[in-house]
Amino acid sequence: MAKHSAYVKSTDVPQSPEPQSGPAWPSQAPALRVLELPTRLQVPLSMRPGPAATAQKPPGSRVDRGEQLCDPGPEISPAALAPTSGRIVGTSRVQLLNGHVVSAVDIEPDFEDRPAAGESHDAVRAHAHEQELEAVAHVDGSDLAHWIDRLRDAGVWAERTGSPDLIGQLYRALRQPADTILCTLLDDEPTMRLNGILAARSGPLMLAGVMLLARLTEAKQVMIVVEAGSPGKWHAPLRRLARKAGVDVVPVLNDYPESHPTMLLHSLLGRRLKPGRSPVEQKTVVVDAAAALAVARCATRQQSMLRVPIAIRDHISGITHYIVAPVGSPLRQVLEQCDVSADGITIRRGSVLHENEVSADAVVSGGELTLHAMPRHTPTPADPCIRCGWCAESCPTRVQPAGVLEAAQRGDVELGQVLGLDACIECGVCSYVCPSHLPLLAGIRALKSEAERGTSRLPSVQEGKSGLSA
Amino acid sequence: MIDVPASTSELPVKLAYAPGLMQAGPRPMLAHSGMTLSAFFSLHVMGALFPITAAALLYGWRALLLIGVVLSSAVLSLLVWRRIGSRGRQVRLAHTLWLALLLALMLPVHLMTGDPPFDEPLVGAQWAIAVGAGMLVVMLAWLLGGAGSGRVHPVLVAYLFLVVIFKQALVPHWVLQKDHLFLGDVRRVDRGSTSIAWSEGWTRTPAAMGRDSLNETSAAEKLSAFTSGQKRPDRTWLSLDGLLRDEMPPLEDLILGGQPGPIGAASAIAVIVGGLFLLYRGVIDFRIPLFIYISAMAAFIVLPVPAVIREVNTGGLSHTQIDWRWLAMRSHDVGPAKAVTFANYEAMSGPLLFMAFFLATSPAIRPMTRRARTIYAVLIGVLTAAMQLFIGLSFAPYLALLLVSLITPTLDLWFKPKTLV
Repeated sequence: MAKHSAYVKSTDVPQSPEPQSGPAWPSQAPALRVLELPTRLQVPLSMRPGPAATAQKPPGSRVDRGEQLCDPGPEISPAALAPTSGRIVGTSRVQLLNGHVVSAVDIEPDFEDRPAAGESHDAVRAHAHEQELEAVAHVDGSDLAHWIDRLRDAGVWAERTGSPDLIGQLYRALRQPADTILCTLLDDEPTMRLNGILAARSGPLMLAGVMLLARLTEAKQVMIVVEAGSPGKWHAPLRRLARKAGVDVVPVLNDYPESHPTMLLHSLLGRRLKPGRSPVEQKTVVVDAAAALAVARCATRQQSMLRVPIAIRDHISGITHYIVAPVGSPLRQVLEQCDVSADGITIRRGSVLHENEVSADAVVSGGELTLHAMPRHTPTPADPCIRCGWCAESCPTRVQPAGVLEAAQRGDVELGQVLGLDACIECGVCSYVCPSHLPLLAGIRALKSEAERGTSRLPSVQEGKSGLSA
Repeated sequence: MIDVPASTSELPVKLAYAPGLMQAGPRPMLAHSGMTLSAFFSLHVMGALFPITAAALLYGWRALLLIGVVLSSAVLSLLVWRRIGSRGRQVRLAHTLWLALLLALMLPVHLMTGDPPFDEPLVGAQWAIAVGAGMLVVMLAWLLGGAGSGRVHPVLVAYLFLVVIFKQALVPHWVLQKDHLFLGDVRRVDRGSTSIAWSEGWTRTPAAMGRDSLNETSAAEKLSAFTSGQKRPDRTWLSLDGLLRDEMPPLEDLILGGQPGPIGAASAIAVIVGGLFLLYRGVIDFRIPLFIYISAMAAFIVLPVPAVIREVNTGGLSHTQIDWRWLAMRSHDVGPAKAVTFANYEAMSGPLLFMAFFLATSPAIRPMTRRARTIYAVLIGVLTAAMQLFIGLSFAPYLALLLVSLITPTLDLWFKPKTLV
């Protein structure tokens, strides 16, 4: 453990001197409330835009809970499953919580499998599932390809900042072995501890998922990263079982944006993961608690991923809602069930500082699992840059954001790359601290888009996967 | 559902570099720290409050009047310049006020008196220098690109311009007696004689009845005359040791500010405390003042200084013969202790510390990366020392900073930060 602490201290990431457990840590991990089924679900057919997938059944057909909604396309994507039984009423285009806009199948539920009143997520009922952990130990670790198909068929889906594309990582691990599994329980913000709560309520099950991934990838090192300062009893069962299983539970000071895979890999393993690249390039598979739980449920209970845990912070009332919503639930209806009006507010996904806004018409999916309902944001007029240097000083990856913004204004991608464009993890700290209110993050994103349109870029994870499937 | 009170815990970022950021701005917003340009420059003004307080104590209300006049003329000038061209839109009130305040702190108090201690033809128009200073700094801020764009510090250019035009008018001579601090009128002075008994210094000189302030040649002028070789010894020779022992005020006078000087730069302790405040609030980088001071001290010790100035008669003509010594501490006439004392006098007599804390750290002119800042500071320190010794102590730090700041873009080009990944 001392070794890991040393790693943590060796970074330049701004970190608080003492881990603190403030009011943001309730004495007990709260339960996740299972939401009522909405009147209409818009189930996405793929994770990201691509060739339009076609629904298997025409409008008016009935679907059962867990039934596949479309033929698996050429794209490596989890299967689209009906989260509940009902009737297909049409197709539409929807925005996902990872920002992509994709095709969806609209389903009207018949409410035959609606959750019982007051029912909580099955995480609540998860006691020490040591048998499940035991079962995972006997999984044949040599058949990763088979397990990828199995996870895809179960709709297991994770593609967010803290937990990059899970299926993509496993595909890549087929040809490029990973030696480490990193399961992060860090959350971006102290008022939204979704990963911490999931691990506290379903720690043993989550550990089973992590162990399964370790067996499948033959990783020698398994780490579960917990937030330093979290109450001991939250993760006591997890720690006990992890010790038995030979898994390191590593406490890390969680100052934003330490939960980003690039930061974690650098501070814990000394590995340099370029933002946006697959962690498997650095021989590591990174998952968060929600992803590990989805894997474990598929492996031990043959459960598909039909519902998703979500944390919604209502910044107007100062309340955080921890809920479980069916995949495809329109955000507007989810907010309504949380007594949050979707009108006149701004909704951001992931960390607030990422500046990623989503429409209230977006649907629940395997993208970002934290949402912020904020008062409508009025942009402040920017002042000239005074070269205070705070953006560069506070940048965790040592980019020069003001310089990159200047490069973006000139359209000079090369200058932007010299100033660290490729190292930017888009955490938004630069925009947060800038006294001139400069749109630094927006400038960086614009220049990244410009760079991606260029010809001389390295192959992305997607290209790697396409090559593999061909 | 869990209720977590909305408080500062909402703020997701803890900043190691700018710990004062949260307190400095208005109420922090969720998606932004709340820091604004006005708040940023008010932090600097808060640091300058220490030298301003020292100025009010040592030079009385006229020092505050001087600041007020320069600021007022700057604001009035700003109203005009901000309407001119696209550059006018780059000029900001907070930035301009900060520049004007800095310039005011570099001026002597006698500009606000009716009968200043210098000769015609400037007498009677000395207040116009203060008014012109405010106008000049705004014009230069406009000319150099306003807040942000300029890579040359308008205050440095404005001050050096004033020195070139009004050199004698900017040489300070007066300081309030220690029992007339703040309440005294610096104008009530005996102009005919030297008032401070240097053997006892400002702190121990008995109060002179009937006047509020003391009249003396500043330590900066004396040191400058000696090190540049222009000093004529009173007797047949004057050694460095003799200068420090017999002619210079005690070092504590320079530290406290009990000597004539620019109103903001005279008290070394006030400047240091103000600078430490800026460091504490995270608005300046410690490397710059630290390395300027260290390199300047090293250069003062190494660079050649007159160990002895002799009056020589050759064929009935009297002239001085100077015994220059590199690394004077090696000479048994000087020795290590005297050499270090001399370096301390050089550092405390002039505006070196003021420049190091309040001007060299300016975002507009300092390099962006840490390594470049270290080199920048060392260059400033060495150049300041050389110029103080051989050109003039009262303005050398500003001239050195102006010259080194010209290479800042090159330093930024050479030293780019290495990214984490």
